[in-house]
Amino acid sequence: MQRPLTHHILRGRAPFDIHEYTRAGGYQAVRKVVGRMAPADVVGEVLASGLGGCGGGGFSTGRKWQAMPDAAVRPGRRYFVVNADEMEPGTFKDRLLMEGDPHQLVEGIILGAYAVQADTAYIFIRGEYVEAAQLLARAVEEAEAAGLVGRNILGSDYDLSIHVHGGAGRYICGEETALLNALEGRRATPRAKPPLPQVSGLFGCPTVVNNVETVCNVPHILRHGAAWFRALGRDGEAGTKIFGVSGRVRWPGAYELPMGTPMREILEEHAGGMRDGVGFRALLPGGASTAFMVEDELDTPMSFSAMSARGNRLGTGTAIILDDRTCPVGFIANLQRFFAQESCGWCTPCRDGLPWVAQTLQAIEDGEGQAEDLDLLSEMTGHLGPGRTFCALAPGAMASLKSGLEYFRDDFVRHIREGACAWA
Amino acid sequence: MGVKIVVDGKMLRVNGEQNLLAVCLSSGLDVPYFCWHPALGSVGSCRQCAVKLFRGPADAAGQVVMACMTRPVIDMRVSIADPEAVAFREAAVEMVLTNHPHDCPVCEVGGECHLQDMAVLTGHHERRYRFAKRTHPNQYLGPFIRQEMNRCIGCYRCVRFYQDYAGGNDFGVFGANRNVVFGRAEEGVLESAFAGNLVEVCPTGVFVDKPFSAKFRRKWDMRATPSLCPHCAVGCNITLQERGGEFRRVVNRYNETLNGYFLCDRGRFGAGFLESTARLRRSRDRSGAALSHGAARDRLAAVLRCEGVIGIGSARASVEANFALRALVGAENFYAGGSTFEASASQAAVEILQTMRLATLKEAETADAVLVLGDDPAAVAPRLALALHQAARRVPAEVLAARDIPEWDENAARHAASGAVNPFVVATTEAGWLDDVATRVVRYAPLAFALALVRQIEGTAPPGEVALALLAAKQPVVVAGGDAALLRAGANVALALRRAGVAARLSLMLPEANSVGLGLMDTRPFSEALAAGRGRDVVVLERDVFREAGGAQLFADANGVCVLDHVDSQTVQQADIALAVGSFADCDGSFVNLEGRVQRFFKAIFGADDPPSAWALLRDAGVLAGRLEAEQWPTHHALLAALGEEIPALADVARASPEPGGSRPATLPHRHSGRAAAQSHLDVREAMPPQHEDSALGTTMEGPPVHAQTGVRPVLWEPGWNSGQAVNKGPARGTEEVFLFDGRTERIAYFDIGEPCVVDDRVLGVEALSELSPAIIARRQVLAG
Repeated sequence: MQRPLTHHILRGRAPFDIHEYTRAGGYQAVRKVVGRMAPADVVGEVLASGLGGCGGGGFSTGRKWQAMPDAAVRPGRRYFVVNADEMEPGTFKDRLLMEGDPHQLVEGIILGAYAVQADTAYIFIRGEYVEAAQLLARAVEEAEAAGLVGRNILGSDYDLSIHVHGGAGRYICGEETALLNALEGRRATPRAKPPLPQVSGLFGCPTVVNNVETVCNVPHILRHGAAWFRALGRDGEAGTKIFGVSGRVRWPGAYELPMGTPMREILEEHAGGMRDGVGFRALLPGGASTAFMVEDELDTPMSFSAMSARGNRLGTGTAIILDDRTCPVGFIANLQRFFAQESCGWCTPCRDGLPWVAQTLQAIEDGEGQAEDLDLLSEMTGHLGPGRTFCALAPGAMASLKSGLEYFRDDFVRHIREGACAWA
Repeated sequence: MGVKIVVDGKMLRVNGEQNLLAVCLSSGLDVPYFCWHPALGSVGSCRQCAVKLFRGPADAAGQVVMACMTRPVIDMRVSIADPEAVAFREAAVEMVLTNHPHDCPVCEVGGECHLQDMAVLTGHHERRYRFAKRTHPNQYLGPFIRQEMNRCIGCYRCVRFYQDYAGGNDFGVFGANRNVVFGRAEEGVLESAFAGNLVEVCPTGVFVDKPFSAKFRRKWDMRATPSLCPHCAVGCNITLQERGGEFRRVVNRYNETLNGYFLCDRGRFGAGFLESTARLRRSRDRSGAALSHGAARDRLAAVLRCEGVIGIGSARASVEANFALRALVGAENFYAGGSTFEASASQAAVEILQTMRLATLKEAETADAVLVLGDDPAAVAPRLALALHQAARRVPAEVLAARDIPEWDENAARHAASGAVNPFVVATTEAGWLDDVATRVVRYAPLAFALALVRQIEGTAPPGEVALALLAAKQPVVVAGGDAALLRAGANVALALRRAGVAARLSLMLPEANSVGLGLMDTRPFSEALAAGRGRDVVVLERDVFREAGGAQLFADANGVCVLDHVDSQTVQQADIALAVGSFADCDGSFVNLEGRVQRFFKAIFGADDPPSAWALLRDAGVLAGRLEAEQWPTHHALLAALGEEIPALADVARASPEPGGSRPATLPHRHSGRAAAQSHLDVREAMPPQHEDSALGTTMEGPPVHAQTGVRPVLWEPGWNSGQAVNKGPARGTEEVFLFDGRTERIAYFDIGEPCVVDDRVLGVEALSELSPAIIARRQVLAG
C-alpha cells in the first residue's frame, strides 16, 4: 500500500531538511513543472487526478483552480493561501503533515501557486502550532536559498514569495473567507459568496485557498501523474486520505489509507477496535461538524461522495468515538458549547441560536430539561441549518445535534423524565 | 434595463440596480430586516429578510434566501408568505430577543422602535428562552449619546455607519459570539462629528439622544414639523419635534438629493439653543424694562419714521425677514452687513450661481473625482464633508464590474476595492478631516494651485497628476470655499473641465443658512453700513455686530440702534431697543442653501406667548410708520409675491412655499394623546388648537399625511412601521424641490479672478446659534477637560 503523504514521516525522527527531502525525490515535481509545463496543463493534471478539498469540502481542487480568472483579463496580484488553521475538534492530520514533512507542503505550494499564477502565498497557520510554524518558516528559507522560492524560480521568470502567518485562535478562521479577512487584518467574520475568493479574494485579488493536506497531494500527482493518483483509492475513489480516530480505541492516531476505505476497517484494523471493557455507540466521522454514524453504517466507504450520498459528510476524515461509558447528551452539549463559543457573532441564528441550543442541552444534562426542549432543539436544527446562516459553522454544529437527537432520543427522554444523567 | 419578477403572485418591474429586499419594500410589501440600510448597503448578517426563491417555472421546492443579498433576475419567483420563510423570520426575531431586556416601557425608543415593529410583523409574541441573558456594562460616550448596550441585537449597523460611512476610528465592535459589544475601546466622548446618527441608525434603543432623554416624550405624543437646519449653508432637512410648547429634539428628514438619511451633530444637537438661557424671549429697552409685543411694535415704528434709517441684514435670518427690512428702509439703505471678506465672497457666489448650476449634495456624493479648494468642508459644511467622504470611499465602477459585484453588496464591494479609489484631492490651507481619505493633499496656496490647474487642464501648461486625474474622470466635483478669488478660481477649474468635455460640477461653501438668499439682496459689508449709519438710526436684524470689526463703533456713531433677534448678544445688551422675534422654530420662512435650493421652514413650536416673526413685526411697525400700505403684505404669501416683484432673482422663493389653503397635513400623530388631559390641572376646558395661518401645515391631528402639492410629510409613519424606517416603505416619495436660476444658460467664459482678499478674519467651524446649545457647550467642556 502506498503512503505518498506520510512516506517520509517517522515517529521520533526530525523531519527532512531540504537536502534529505531532495535526495528522497523531493522538488522533482517543481523541476519538472515550473517553467516547463503550461500552468493550464498543471491545472488540467490536478483536475484529472480527482483530488478533492481535504479541509472537509471535498470540492474538486482542479475546478477550484480553474475558477481563477485569466491573468491576461485580470492583471495584478494573485494569491495562493494555505489553510493551516486546523481547529476542528478531534482533527490533527494537518499538524502531522506540517510537523512531519514541511518541505512537502512547500513544494505543493510552489506547484499550486504556479498553476494559478499566484505571486504570493500565505500559510495561515493555527497559532498553537508553534513547532509546525517554525519548521515551515525554516523550510521556506531553505527553499528560498535553493532558488526554489523567490524571484525567477529555476530561471523560469516565475516569481513567488511564501509567508507563514500565525492565527490568533479563532475556530472561524478555518472558514476560508474569514481567514482572508483575518489575513487582511480585519475581524475574522466570513464573507458572502459570491464573489468567490478566486474572483475577489485577499485584498480584492484573485485568490485560491487550499487545505494543507490538499496541497501536500499536489507534488505527488505532478510527479507520478493523475492516473497513478487515481489508482491509489478504493472503489473508484482517487488518492489516499489521512484518517484519524480519537477516543477509547486501542490505537488512537492518524493513518494514511486509500480514499474509500470503509469506516469499520479503519476502526477495527487500524485503530485496533475499542479498548477492553468499552463498548462502541457511535462516531463522528470527520470532526465535530459531521453527523453521527452508528454500528450499522460502519461499512460506508470513507469518501466525500459515499458519505454525501448517505446525507453525511466525510469532513476532515478524523473520527471521534462516542463509547458506552460517555453520556451522549453531555457529549453533544460539550460540542455545542464549543460552537457557541466559537461563533464569530456575525449572523443571528449562529450568534444567538447556538448559545440557546447549548444552554438547553446543558439543562437536560443537568437534569433540568423540560418536555418541550426536544421539540425546540429539533426546530433549531432547521433554523441553524444550511442556507439559514451566513456560513457553514452553525449548520456543521447542527449535523451532530440532528443525528444525535435521532440516535439517542431515548437517552434525551430519560434525562428529562428522570431529571438526572445516568452517567453522572 | 427593466426586469420582471413575481412576488407572491404579484408582478413587479424592477430596475436591476436594487436588491430584492429594497424592491419588495419600495413596492409596498412588508419584509422585515435589521442589518440592511439603504445608505449602508446589504451585508446579510441579521438573517431577518428571509424569503422563498423559486428558480425558473419548474422549481416547486424553492429555497430560503436572504432578500437583501439577492439580485433580482428575470422571471424570478419569490414568496414572502411561504410558510418555511415565515417560520424562519419569526425564529430569527425570537433569537435576537433572547438577550434583549424587553424594557420597552422605560426605553426612549418604545413606540418608534424598529425591533418592536419587526417583532410584531413576524408574529413573534411568546418568549421561550428561559436561561440567563448576557449582559454588558454601558459606556459613557459623551453628552450627545447614551448607551444601553443590553438592548443590542447585533445588527452591526452602528459600526458600519461610524467606521465605514463616517470614517470614525474611535468606535468599533469588540468581543465575539453572543458577547459582541459595540462601543469605544475605553469610555469617552465620541469623536465623530456625525455620532448623533447612531440614534437613528440603531434599530432599537442602544444609542439614545441624551439631551432628548432629559425631556423625553413618546414619538406619538410630539408634534412633528418639517424644518431646516439653521446651522450652516447646507440646509439639511430636519423634523423638529415639540410638545407643550417645548422643543424636544431634532431628527433627520429624508431628502434624497440633499442630506439623505444623515445629519451632522451640530445640526442634531445645535437646536438645543432654542432652550438656551441666552434666548431673547421678551423685548426690552435699554434700561432693561420689558416691552409688550404692542409696545415693541410701536417703538420699532417710531424708529422707522425717522429719515434715512439704515438696515443691516443677516445671513442667518430668513429671506422674508431680510426682505421686510430692506423694503422698509429702502434698498439703498439696506446692507448685508458681513465682513469685507464675506461680502466679496458672497458677491462672487451669487455671480457664479446665476450662470452655473451648482452640484447637489447627492451629486457631490456620487462624484468619481473630487477637488477641494480652500476651506475644510468638515468645518464649514459638515454634511457636505460627509457626502464627499462617500465619494472618497466609492468603489470604482470598473472594480465592481470586473468582479460582477452589485453596488449594494457592501462588504463585497469594500473587499474588492481594497485601496482602489477614485482621485480625491484636498487643497486646503489647514489640515482637515478629509485629509485622511485624500489621495493627494496639497497644503500650499490653494488659489495658485487652482489657477495652475486651469492652465494645465486647458493645455497651456503641461498637465500634472491632478489635472490628468480630473480630466480622466466622468463627473468630477470641484468644491471651493474661501474668498471671492478662490470661489471664481474653483469655478474656472470646473469650466476648464467642461470645455475639455468633462461633465464637471461645482460646489461652493458658504458660511450661513441663508448666505445665498441674503447675497441676492445685497452684499455690501458692515464697514459700509457703519459709515452710512453715522448719525442715523440703525436697525440690526438677527446679528451680533460685535462679531464684526468695528462693531463697537456702531454704538458710538449711530443715533440709535434697534436690534431684532431671538438670542441674547452684546448687541442686544447695548441696543436702545432689543426686540424679541421668533427663531426658525417659532415662525415661517425660507432659506436659500449653498446649492441655490430654496427651502421652507414652518412654525414648529407653539408656545403661549410666542414673539412674532421678524418679518411680521417689521411689517406691522412699517404700516404704523406709514412706510407700508396696510394691506400690502397681509400674509406670508403676499410678502413673497412682493419679494418676487421687487427682486426677480428671488421670485422662485414663492414656489417653494406652498399655499396655505386646501387640505393641511396633520403635524400631530394620529395617536397623539393627552389633548384633553395635559392641561386639565390648570383648566378643565380643552384648549383650542393653535391657530396658524401662514403655514401649509395644520396644527392638529386632522388632515392628510402628505401635503399633496409638495410631497412634504410631517409625521413619518406607515401602517406597522412606527420607526423612522417607515421612510423605506413604499415608493420613493420625493418632495418638490425649487432651485434658483433653474432655466439659466450655463456660462462658458471664465470668471475674472479679481484681487484675493488679504485679511481672512473668519473663525471656521463655529456657528453662533449652535454654540449656545447646552449639549454642544457640555461636549466642548468635557473635551477641554
